[in-house]
Amino acid sequence: MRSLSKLNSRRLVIAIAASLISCLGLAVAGPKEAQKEKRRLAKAMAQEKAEAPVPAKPAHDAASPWHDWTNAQDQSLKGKFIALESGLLTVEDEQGQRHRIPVTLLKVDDRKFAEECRQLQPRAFLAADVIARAAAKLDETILQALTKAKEQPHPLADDATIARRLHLDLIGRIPTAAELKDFLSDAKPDKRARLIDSLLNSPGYTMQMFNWFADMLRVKDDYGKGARAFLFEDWLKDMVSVNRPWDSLVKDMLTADGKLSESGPAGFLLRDAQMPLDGVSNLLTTFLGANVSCAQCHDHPMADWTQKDFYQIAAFFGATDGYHEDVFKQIRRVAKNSNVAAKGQVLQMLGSNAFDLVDLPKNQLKFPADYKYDNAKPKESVTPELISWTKEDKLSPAYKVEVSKPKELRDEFAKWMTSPDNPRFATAIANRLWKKLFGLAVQEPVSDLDDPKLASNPELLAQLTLYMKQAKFDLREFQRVLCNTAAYQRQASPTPDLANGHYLFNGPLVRRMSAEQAWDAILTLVGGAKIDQSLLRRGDELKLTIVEGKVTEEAAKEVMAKMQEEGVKVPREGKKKGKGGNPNQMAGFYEGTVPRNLGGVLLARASEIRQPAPESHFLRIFGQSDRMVADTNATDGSVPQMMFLMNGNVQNAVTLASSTVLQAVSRAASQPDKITVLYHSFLGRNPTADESKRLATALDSGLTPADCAWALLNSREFLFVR
Amino acid sequence: MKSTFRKLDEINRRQFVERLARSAFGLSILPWLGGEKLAAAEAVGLAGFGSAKSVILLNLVGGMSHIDTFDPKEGASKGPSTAVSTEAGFQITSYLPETAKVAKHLCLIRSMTAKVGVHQQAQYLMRTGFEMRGTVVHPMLGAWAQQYLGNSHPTLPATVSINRNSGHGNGFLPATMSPLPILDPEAGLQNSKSVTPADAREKRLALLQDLNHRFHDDVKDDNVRAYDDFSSSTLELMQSKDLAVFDLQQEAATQRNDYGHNKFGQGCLLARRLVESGVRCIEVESGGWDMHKDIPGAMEKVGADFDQAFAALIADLAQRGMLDQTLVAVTTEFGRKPDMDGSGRGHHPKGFTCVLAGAGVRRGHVHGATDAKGYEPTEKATGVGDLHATIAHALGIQVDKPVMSPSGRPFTIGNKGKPIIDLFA
Repeated sequence: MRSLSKLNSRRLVIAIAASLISCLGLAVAGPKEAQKEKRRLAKAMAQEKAEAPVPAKPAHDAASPWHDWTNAQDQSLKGKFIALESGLLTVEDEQGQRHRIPVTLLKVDDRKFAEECRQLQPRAFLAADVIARAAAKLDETILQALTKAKEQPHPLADDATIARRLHLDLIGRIPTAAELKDFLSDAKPDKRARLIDSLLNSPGYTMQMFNWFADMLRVKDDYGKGARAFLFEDWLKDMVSVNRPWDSLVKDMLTADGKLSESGPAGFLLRDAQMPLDGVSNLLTTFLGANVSCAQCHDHPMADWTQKDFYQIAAFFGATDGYHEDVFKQIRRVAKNSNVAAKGQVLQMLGSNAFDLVDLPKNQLKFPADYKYDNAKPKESVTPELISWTKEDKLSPAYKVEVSKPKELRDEFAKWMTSPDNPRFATAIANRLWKKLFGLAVQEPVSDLDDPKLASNPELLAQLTLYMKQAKFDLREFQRVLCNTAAYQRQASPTPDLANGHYLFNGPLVRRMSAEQAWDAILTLVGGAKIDQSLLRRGDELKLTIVEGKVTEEAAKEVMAKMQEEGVKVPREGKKKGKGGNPNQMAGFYEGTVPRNLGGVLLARASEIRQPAPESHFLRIFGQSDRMVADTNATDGSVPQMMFLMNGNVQNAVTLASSTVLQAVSRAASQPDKITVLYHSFLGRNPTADESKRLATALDSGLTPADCAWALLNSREFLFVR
Repeated sequence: MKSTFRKLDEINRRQFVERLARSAFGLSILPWLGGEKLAAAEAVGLAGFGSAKSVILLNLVGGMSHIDTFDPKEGASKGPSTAVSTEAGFQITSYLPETAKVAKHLCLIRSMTAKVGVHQQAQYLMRTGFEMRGTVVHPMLGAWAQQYLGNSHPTLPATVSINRNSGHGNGFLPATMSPLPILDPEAGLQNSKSVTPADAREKRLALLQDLNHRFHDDVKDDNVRAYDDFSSSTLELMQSKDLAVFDLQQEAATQRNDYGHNKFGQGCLLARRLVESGVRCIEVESGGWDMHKDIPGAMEKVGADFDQAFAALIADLAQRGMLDQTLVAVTTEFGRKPDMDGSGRGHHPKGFTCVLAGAGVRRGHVHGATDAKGYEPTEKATGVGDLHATIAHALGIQVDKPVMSPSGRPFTIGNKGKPIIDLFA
């Protein structure tokens, strides 16, 4: 029997579950009792995870909420309900590991049971009327600004345009022809709101959010020196899946301890462990829009930040150590002389041990040797102090922090930064999410919010900040509000020239799809909505590589033995080849379903392959960031992009007879139907009369549907979001 | 078959004319810059003007430690390496043994200075010659040169950037002036061969043309227009006889070994091939220079790759007689602190080194110096804008003549930086 999770076969007790048999004896109770018992259980589970998703230690008493989650193929996974969000069930197994399962893969009974468990969880959902009121208020504010500038809002966009826009913005891919048809044929007036709800609750939402975070947080598989951040990636996806509020998620990352191969959230600070000052400057820029980076070297030329300000706030991380050069040297020594495996393999196997987030007893940060201002001396120790934007800031409760204990400095910093009373934390994330949905932030650039008066519409920014706090940093609810505004649902504007003044949001902007959206859109054409079910998870095996204490030849042998025992392949040495993951190499790392390979394209979504993708991959050619610098995904065109679409593997896969789109075309009975399916699939709309005629002429003149698919794939309209 | 191509050419021609029209729209060089005759009036008599047909920019991302490479120091600032004398008379460090062999061709600018110590902003400055601003994106050198001097080849792009995507490319200049990105030199220009059967090609393209028509009328967006331009350049390039220039397989194995089998080494080799074919501006990126920790470990790898490839490139260009018309520049966003932090160093924009070679630049020469510890220039302080102006001058561009941006503001190459005439023999 195979298992739901790749881990199952190796480490978990597999319960043979042809029907719903839980370890708590549900099967022996009558249907009514069973129901009652289930509810009681679900309630117990929900209570246990009231603080979700802080990992609770698995309880081992009789009342423990274990359940064998079973899919349609009778594979099962014993685990505890953690969350059902976005169409993904998250369970925790007996080892305390989390797994995500697309809920549609489960047996009907288990699907219902998961739903019941979820109903009992405390949830911060905003009621529909609250959402509607908030959306209306935002519209009012936008309208006021437009009226004042003697401008008009655009008319509302039609249903087809909205469906495509919503799919791309919320689940990161275009709708399939079938999904679009369902929406267009829905006659109820609230169908847009319902589409928003359903997209926000489907697995694609996690993938889309992960891509967005990956660009902003510089998510990267490889931290260098053999260290790999798979566990951080898994964790981030888990957190999005359970809809962890933003303030908690950031706090998790800032206060984490432990090794890269041990703690998911530790991966965030460990990303910059080799250059802690840059790390601080990155996180202040990303989370607060504080443009302090210049102050790392000198007083900021334009803004108010001084070099002293920067060093003082950086001192909150002065007692944090992440990269341990001594450990790395041990690893290198073992690697050089080892008989266990080749040098590169040993580095890959043990490298993560040099990345360990710990607190030191003493704050180490000192002013630089070339410090040139009078307010401190070179090489003098730095006392931690928070930055503030106005004099009044310091009166707010967020500023009550304790700086006397070095070990708690990070915790205190995190409290301040993620507090609703922090002067910028809520604004920064609200402004970023606005940009995600409208194509332009209320205040640009998102990395500099030092002067909120520079916002294109300061009232709007203030209102968004307020709603972010009222939503308690629930990013999904916040996006629900934005998507329900008329402003979002209007016709899009072409890219405005900001040198001529502010853009006041007559509608969202026309955008080229992001690299990830374009890749996932093409995959949708090739593999349909099923592509949302393949979830990459690579972190678990890293845990086997943890070495306690000194790294020696002996320790390397032990790790090697553990890996062999568990059937884990030691990473191969040398250059990584392949475009976006050799399917044979990656196949063992998927939960849900294993992605197929069609026409040279692995049908795994952008979030479920290497991070970032290799240089010659479609994603990189289309502007996926190399993840060195935050917010550098690009949507500029280039010749190689055009060549990729005209001649590359993606056009090959799309034009195969077995692609989802051409299958749907071949099922369509008449030529007009075939043409409609093509338009629905690629462009998300009905063809005009002229367009139908043009395509009919093409088909009559000897072009095949595959030829039409090639042309549609290469059309400008396909790549752009209106 | 023949008619297919003729028809394609027709499409291309039409698009080409449209593209030219669009390029001119919303953007103009001031009228007195129209003719080359006028442009060259003042600068033409000065040393080095127009000495370079091509430029190869070797961009070391992360911030090359000047002290551990081209500006060795003794005492507290001294790093893990030792200073080595070269036949050019100046010293470099023991991390660059191959470079030492070509030192006689090099001109070190040891007095580079800037204010920006953050990678993204400093890289932007080094690539464009301007500090980053919220409202305007500035062009990089290759795009400026294309604006002033036109295309460098009938079908090949005027600028190619190797090992990086084309961000900060054309800036406010037309998108067609953005560099062609090659992210993996080994792979070259992928997918350049048409896969469509010849009989369907013409029909497919005609259909595509018609599909695009309505969208253009509906959405009057600059980025959509830019994509049209790329699409037509792509069709032109796909028919170019010179496509083979991107294929490194055509180089002898010994030659490929000389440059080193790594992205930077093969990138430098590709750059030489592109110069040979007439491409004007090539940028090759080398990553991994952000050496906060473990300078010895990083120099063993990143530094050694650079050393081998850079020396091979200079020697190869010289041997082929191409160095006289090719300007090679080693650039980096900033230097690194004279004070060691463990085995690494922090960012240091106040004083750092860039290197020039070829195209009439003085050989075996050192321009400027930093103080004994390596903190800042003691003479001939050189800004990033000055470096840009110097390179543009070598390309034959009169740098004090502005270009108007679409919003009507005048900009000059290197943001009013001055060409350093003294660098030219």
